[in-house]
Amino acid sequence: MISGTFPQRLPDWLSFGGDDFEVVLSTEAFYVRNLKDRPFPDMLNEEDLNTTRRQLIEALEGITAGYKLIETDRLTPLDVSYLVERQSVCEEVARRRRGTAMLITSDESNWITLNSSDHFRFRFAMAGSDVEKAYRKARSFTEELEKGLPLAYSERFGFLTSRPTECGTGLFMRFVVHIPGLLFSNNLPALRDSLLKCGATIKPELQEGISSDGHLFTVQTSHTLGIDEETILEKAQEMISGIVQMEFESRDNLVSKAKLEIEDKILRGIGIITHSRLITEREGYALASALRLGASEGFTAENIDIFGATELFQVGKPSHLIARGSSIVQKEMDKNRSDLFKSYLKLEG
Amino acid sequence: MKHKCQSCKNSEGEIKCVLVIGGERIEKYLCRECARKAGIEEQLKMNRKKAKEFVITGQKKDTVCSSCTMSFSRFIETGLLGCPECYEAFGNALRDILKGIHSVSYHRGRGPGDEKTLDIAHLKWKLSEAIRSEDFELAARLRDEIKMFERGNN
Repeated sequence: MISGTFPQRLPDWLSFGGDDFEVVLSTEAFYVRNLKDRPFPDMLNEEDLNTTRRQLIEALEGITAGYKLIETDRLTPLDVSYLVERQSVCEEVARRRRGTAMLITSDESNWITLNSSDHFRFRFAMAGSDVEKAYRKARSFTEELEKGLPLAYSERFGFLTSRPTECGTGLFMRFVVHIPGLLFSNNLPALRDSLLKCGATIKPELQEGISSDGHLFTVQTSHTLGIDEETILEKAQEMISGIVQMEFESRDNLVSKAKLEIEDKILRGIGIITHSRLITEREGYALASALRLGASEGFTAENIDIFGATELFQVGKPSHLIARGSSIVQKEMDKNRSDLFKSYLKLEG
Repeated sequence: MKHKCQSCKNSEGEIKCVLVIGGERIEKYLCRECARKAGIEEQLKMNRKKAKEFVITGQKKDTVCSSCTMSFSRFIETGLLGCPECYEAFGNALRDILKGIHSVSYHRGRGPGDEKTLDIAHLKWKLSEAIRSEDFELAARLRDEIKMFERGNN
């Protein structure tokens, strides 16, 4: 079981927080790269895929000291969904599996997937809002990669990728944001529109419904061609600072206008966790969000801090519950989720 | 709600274009002129009376990449190209799609290797594009930039 390798709580890199952690959980820099003169993985047969995988692993040997190699096609579906739930592998790999592999650091902040839609996709992450550091880590890795390998590149289209949405720099930035303030004040459509205009998209972190109930979203830059890396970073920085500011303003506004209602929502969440026996995944997300908001606004000081509340998002996910020994029966899972959530609360008496 | 054209940023973007690539929906507002440039002129004529929303999913004639045998129609279905050579093989049709997604169809910035040489290659490339599209004002500016760059390097 892969859950023996990776902890059943938040990944280590995420558990220390960072700048504006109240709103921005993580900043991730992604690069997509491919080998020159070779079809993209989708066009390779089983044998070629395996050969390519072996070559890619060998080629990376010198620059991936400290990374753990996982041959993803040997994992069980449960293991893969466990990794997807903690964003330690992209869904792309989960869908394909055949001929894929990944290299990952023990704190799970950096990973490289091989043979997913492209020969290499890699992610370097920082907790909180830190465009500069996440980018710098990813950039120095890609420079090493470019030094050692002939990569698919053309002067006109830049780095060539299997998806035309990613060619050019092959770089995009992604943030996971917790924005209850913007949602309570019905500002999501406006935010979505303004992000679209500046070349970014916003989606629920996991699944429509479940994670929008948790007010957890991912924001991702979407232009890679005709824009240089510096400009992508500038825009990403501007964008995330804007979101943080908007979210804080909305929260201030809410607290000043509807303090009682907000406090009620948060404390009611504590009440539910304390007294309920079953918590569904969707409700779990909503509760995690309420407590996280409470912790960052100072309403739940005695009961839970922001890290504990952030962890609730993680531990209540289905594969994580199964990894802790829950059966896959819905009711059993809801019961386990409820018990687990209780253990995260510090209660008086 | 009025939108500005997301390509030229000047005129009113009265046409909503929806690009569907590999299941991903990309929405853009374009003015008539930019919509024409992006290659949806034909659809425009056909749908004059209908809503101003156009879905671009591909072209009529199928092209096949000689290097990896990927066909353009299959690419439109999956959203995935077959190999690096597909970029040249699918020519204008792909360029239109790239323009639809990114507003432009040329790379800007570094490549694998020396940043400076690539920058000048890029400037030269932009110059040839500017001349081709008869944007002489831009071409003159680029020529000056290239001269300055070359002088600075010697």
